[in-house]
Amino acid sequence: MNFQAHTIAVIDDDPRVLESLVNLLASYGYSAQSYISAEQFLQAGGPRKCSCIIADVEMPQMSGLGLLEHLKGSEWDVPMILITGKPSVRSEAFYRERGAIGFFRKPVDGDTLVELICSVCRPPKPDVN
Amino acid sequence: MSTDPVRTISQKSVEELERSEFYLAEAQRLGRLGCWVFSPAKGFEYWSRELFQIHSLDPSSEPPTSEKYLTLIHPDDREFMRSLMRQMHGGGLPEFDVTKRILRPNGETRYVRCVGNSILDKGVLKRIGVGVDVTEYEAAVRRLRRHEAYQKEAQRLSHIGSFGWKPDSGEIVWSEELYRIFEYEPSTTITMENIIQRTHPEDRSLVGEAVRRAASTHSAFDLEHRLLFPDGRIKYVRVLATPLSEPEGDLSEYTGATVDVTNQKRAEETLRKSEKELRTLVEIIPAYVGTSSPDGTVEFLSQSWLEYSGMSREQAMGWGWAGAIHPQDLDRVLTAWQAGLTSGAPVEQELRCRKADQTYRWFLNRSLPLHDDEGKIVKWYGILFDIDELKETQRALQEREHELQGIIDTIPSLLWASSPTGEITHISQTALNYSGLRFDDFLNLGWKQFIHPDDFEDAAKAFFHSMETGESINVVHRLRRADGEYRWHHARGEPLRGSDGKIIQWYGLSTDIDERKRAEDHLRDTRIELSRAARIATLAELSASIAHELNQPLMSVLANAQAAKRWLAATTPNLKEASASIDRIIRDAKAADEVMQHIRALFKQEPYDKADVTVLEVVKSAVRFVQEDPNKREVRIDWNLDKDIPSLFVDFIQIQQVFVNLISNAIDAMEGKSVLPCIQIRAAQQGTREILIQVIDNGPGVEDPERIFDAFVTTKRTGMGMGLAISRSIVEAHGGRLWAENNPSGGATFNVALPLSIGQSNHSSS
Repeated sequence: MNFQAHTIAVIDDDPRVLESLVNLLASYGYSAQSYISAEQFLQAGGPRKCSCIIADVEMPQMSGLGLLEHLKGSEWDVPMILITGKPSVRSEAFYRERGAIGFFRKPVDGDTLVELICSVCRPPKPDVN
Repeated sequence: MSTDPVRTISQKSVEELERSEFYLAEAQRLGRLGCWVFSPAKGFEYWSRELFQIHSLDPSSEPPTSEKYLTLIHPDDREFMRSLMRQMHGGGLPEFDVTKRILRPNGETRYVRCVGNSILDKGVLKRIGVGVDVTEYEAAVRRLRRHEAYQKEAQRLSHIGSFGWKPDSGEIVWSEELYRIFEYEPSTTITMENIIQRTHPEDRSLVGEAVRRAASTHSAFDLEHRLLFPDGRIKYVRVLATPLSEPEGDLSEYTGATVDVTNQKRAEETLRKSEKELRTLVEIIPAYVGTSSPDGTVEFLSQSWLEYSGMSREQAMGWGWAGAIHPQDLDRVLTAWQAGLTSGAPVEQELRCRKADQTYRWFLNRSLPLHDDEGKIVKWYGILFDIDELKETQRALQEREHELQGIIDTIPSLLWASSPTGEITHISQTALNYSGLRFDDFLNLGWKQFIHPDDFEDAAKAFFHSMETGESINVVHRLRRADGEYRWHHARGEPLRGSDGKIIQWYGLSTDIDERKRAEDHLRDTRIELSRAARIATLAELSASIAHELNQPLMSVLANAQAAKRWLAATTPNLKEASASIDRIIRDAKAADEVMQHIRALFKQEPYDKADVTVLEVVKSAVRFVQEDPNKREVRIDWNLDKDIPSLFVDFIQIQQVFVNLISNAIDAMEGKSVLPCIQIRAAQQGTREILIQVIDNGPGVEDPERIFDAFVTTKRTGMGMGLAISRSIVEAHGGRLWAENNPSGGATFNVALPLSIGQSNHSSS
C-alpha cells in the first residue's frame, strides 16, 4: 500500500504529453501511471492507487476540472495538479479555490512541478542524484 | 142709471139682472176675457173690468182713447194696430180676429187675441168685441212649433224618418225626412204598396213577413232591409216600430222610425273588410302578435302563436302564455313586463319560448301601449319576433370575434393596422405589451421610438413607399422591447382593398425573428468555422487553438529535455533513458514545425464561393456584424460610397470577414483614447481595373505599416496578431492588395484594392 500511495497518476489525451511527464517523473524517482482519459482513470480504480494526480484541463468528455469536482469531497480526495495547453482565461486562484493544489500552463517547467509534488508526497526512492 | 125705468119694473128682474151680470163678470175673470165697445166717432166707449185687468190698468178709470190705446200695444205690433184702428174709426172692417202683443205698465208683454164684430146700437154702428189673454196658449203653440222644427231638422240631419201606421186601416203617415229617404214626393199618399215597391226584391218577403206579424201580434219590431231605386242605387234602412199603448180609437196604431243606415253599413263593411285584412296580416306576418288589457292580462293571441307553442287559446289567455317562457328567462321577462305596465313605457326584451316540440327559440318581444284621448292606457300591443337564427349568427359571430381577438392577442407576433395614409389605427395587445407603449404613443409617427434608430430610416422609407404605391411592406428591423432590448423583427404589411380597388386599410404583422436571426447568424458563423477550419473564427479562439497545437509538442519537448538532463546528471548516468528522451525531443520538435507549416498552409487557401456583390452590401453587412457585439456598438461608423461603383466578384463571406477584421481592429485601436472615435469607410473606382475601399480611423495610427501584416505581431492583449495576416492573404487570393498608411492628421487608413468583376469571371479558379 505504501508503494501504491506514492504513485503519481498522469491524465492527458495527448500520448506525447503522457509519455514525457512519466519520463520526467521517473527521472525524479517517482513511479507514475498514465491514463488517456479521466474515464479510463476512474474505471481502472486510479484514485485508490495514487497519492497525487496531474490532469490536463482540456480533454474530450470529462475535463480535468470535472474530475477535480468529482473527487472533491469523496473518500478519494487525492491532491490534484491541473495543466492546460490553451491560453486560459482562468487563473491559478480559480483552480485553487476549487481544491487543486496547483495549476500550470504548458509547457510546464519540470522542476517547479516536481517541487510541488514533493511537497505532498516524497519519492519512494531517494533522489537519484 | 138709477132712474132707468126698466130697473124699476120689478125687484125680481133687477135681482136676476144683477146675478147674471155677476156671472158674466166672474166668467170674464176666469176666462181672462175682457169685452169692449167701440164707436167709430168716439173710440172706445166701454172696457170691461177684466179688460183693464188684462192690461193691468185701474178698472175704475175711463177706457183709453185710441191714441192712448196704441201706446199700450207692443211696438212691433203698433203699426198694424194703428191701421186696424184707423179702419175701425172709418167705419170699415166689419169683422176681425187678430192676436197682438200688449205692453203692461211694468213692461211685461202679453199676447191678446182680439175678436170684434159690428152691431147697430139704436141705429148707430158700433163695434163690440172681446180681448182674451192668450199668452200661455201662444207660448205653448210657439214651443210646439219650435219642437216640430227641431224634430224636422234632427230627422233631416240624422237621416231618421218617423212614421205612424195603422195596420187595420192601412193608413200611413210619414215625416218629411222619410219621404226624402224613400225619395217620394212629399205630396204622395203613402201606402204599403209604395213601401214594398221601393224594397229590394230580395228583402221583400222579409219586410212582408214583418208587416204581417206586426198586424197580427201587435208587437214591436226591428228589422233591416235594403231599398232599391230605379237607377240601381241601394240604401240600407233600419226600421223600428212599436205599437202605441193608447191608440186613437179601437184600432191598433204603430209609431216608429226608419233610419237610413247606408253610411254606417258601408263603414261597417269597410271596417269588417279591413279587420279581416288585419287579421290575415296578423296571421301571416313572421311574428306572433297579442294584445292585453292595461293590467297585463292577455286578451288576444294570434293563431300562429298558439300553433307555435302548442297551447290552446284557453291555456294561453290571461297569464297562461308565460308558461312557454324559458325558466331562466321567466323572472327577468315578467319583471320587465310588470315594470312596463307600471310605468307605461314600451317594453323591449329578448327571451326564449318553448315550441310545441319542447325545443326553445329566441324571440324579440316589443310591447307598446295604446293611449286614449286623455292619455290613459287602454290596451297593450305586443309582438314576438323570432330571432333565433339571428341570435345564433350573433353568437357565432361573437364567438368568432372572441376567438379572433384571442388569436390576435395570443399569437406571439405584433399586429397593427393603419389608414391608407399611414396613420396607425390599431395596435394589438401583444404589441402594446411588447413595447410597453400606449396606443396613443404610436400616433403621429410616434412609432419612431419603437424602431432601432439605425433601422428607422429604412423602415420609414419602405413604409411610406408602400403607402404611395400600394405594394406590400416587407422589411426587417429591430424593435425596442419594454425593457430596452432591441429584437429583430420581420414586418410584413398588406393592403385591404375595397370593391373599387381603393385601399381601405393596411394590415401588418411583425414577427420576432431575433432567435431565428441569431440562429442564422450562429449557423453562418458555424458554417464559417467549419468551412474555414477555425481560420476565420474569432482571432482569440484561433490563437488559442494554434497555441494549443504548439503547446502540446513544446510541453513534451521541455519535459523530455528536463528528464534527459536528470538522467545524465544522475550519479550513474542513465544513458539509455537520456537517449530515448532526446529521440522524443527531436520527434516532437519536428511535430511543432509541422503544425506551423499546417497553419501557413491554411492561410493560403483559395477563395471558393465567388459571386457578384456590391460594395454597399459588403460594407453594410460587415458593420452590422461588428455591431452585434454590444461593446462595439457605440462607435460611429460613416460610409461614403460612390453611387455607380461596379459590383465585385468575390467570396462574400471572406471579403466580409476582411472588413469585419479591419473595422474591429479600428474600434479596438481607439479604445481608451480621448478623441471621440469615428470610423469612415470610403469606396471609389480607381482606374479601369480596380475598386479601392478604405477604412479610416482617428486612433493612434500604426507603428510600422508593413510589419503589422506579419503573423504574431499584435498590439492587443488577446490573440496572436493573425487577423491582418489572414486578411491580407484573403485579399491577395482575390487578386487584390491590402496595405496600411498613417494619416497626416492622425489615425490610420487601411486600403483594400479589389479587381473589378466585369470580365473577371474566369479569375475565380486562378
